Amino acid sequence: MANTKQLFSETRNRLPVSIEVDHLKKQFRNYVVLDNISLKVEPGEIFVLMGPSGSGKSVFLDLLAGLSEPSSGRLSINQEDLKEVKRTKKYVMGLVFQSGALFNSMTIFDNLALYLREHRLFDEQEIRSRVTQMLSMLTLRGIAHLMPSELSGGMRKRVALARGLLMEPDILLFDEPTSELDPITAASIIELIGYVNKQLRITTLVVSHDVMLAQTIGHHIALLNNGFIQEIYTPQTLPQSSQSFVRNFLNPTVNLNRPRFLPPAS
Amino acid sequence: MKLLQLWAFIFQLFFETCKELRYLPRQIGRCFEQCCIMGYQTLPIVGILSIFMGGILALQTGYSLSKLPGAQSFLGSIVGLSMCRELGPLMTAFLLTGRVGSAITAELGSMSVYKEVDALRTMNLSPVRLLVMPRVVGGLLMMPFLTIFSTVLGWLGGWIVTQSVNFISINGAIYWRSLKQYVDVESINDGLLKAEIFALVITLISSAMGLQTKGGPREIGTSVTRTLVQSMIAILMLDYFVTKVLL
Repeated sequence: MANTKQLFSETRNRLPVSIEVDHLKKQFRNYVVLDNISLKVEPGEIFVLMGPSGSGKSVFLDLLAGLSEPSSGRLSINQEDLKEVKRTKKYVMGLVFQSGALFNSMTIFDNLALYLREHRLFDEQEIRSRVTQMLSMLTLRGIAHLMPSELSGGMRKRVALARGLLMEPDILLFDEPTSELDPITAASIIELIGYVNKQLRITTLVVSHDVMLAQTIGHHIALLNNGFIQEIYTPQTLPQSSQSFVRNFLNPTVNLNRPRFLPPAS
Repeated sequence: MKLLQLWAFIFQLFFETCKELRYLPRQIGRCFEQCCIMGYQTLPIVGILSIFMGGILALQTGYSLSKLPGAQSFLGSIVGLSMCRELGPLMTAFLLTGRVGSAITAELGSMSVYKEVDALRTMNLSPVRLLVMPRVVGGLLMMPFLTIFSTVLGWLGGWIVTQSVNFISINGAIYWRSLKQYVDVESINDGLLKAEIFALVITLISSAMGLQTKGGPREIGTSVTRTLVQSMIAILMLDYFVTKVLL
């Protein structure tokens, strides 16, 4: 993977950007999913947003990716409103979906080349060379002709990351990058995210409930609980949190005699 | 309310598709692919259905006209006009709905459910340009060919019946002469105009249903069913109004 930086910086040499979230609220009818969320992702850092399933992490990512509109509050990139950024296409965002969201009717090569082809960024020969190089960097050689359904979960995530990187994004967003993976493959994905960030200094936001991921590669970590973020931690301060929700999240206890989802005995 | 929202979305999709037509040269490969799916692969079923449709029409009409002496000589014109003005475009539209419309909804629906459409959006690529416009163009290009094919095979079906059924006492030459006498270019054009309107409606409804699908596999199935129902109702209603205007 030694050439990652070279491939990326050939065409673009931009400074890392920051993400600002200010009093963000999202509700579906009367149900408030995110309430008064404020945070800042510093340029070039990895920010990990953690929280239990159903806490609104993916909704937050959709808002940031511009796939849905907030009910109130402001999202901005380098102090510029997200709507304006989307309209002018000033910054490129690569979103790596939980499922990979690869195009099932296309080969892996066409999946990776789609963005470059449709935006007419390079000629076909250059696209071929970039895709091939990216595949070999992510140790995915020899799969260009395969269909997404022929890949394992870990490979799909890596292809999705390759697709995101080929966009040469200013911001990389990850939705549960280690879910549904065995521990070793999950570790390799964590290494990859950390390595890419170190090499390319792309501002990265990872949504996950993987504590190991957060503590290994996160520069800042926030925990989402019932639509709120109470505090923002570093990997060092996270285990020392005094909040019971955070402590329970990091070290959950299992009580087989009293499952927590059952109603209390009358 | 939901129906109004759907039709508002269909109109929005129509205008967006018109806007994206400027990218047609770059999407020519995708359009060609859709032409193959909609045209070439639909041809056999259109052929079979149309031959039988023409045959049944000749059979029913021939039987009724056998009670009126000399009236069977109009069989060619009846089958000819019915096929080119009405049954050709209508049956082709129904087949396109069942075979192509449902496939479009299922494909776009699964792309929506499995976030592929969202992936396009995050890549600053318009789903309308890549997914809807080629299908609409494919439908508009292929529908006239399918309709002409259906009409001609319907005429042939009618002719085969006149030659093989005892109670129809006209020969082939009379059948074709009567058909030629009454079927003019205007009738064929009217049929083709209807076909184009139907193609537009089918591709837009099925694309809209697909893009609006949320949930999982069950919702994809529901969207396909809704596509069939909405398209068929729209086709029949439009058929009535267009016919009224054209007559």
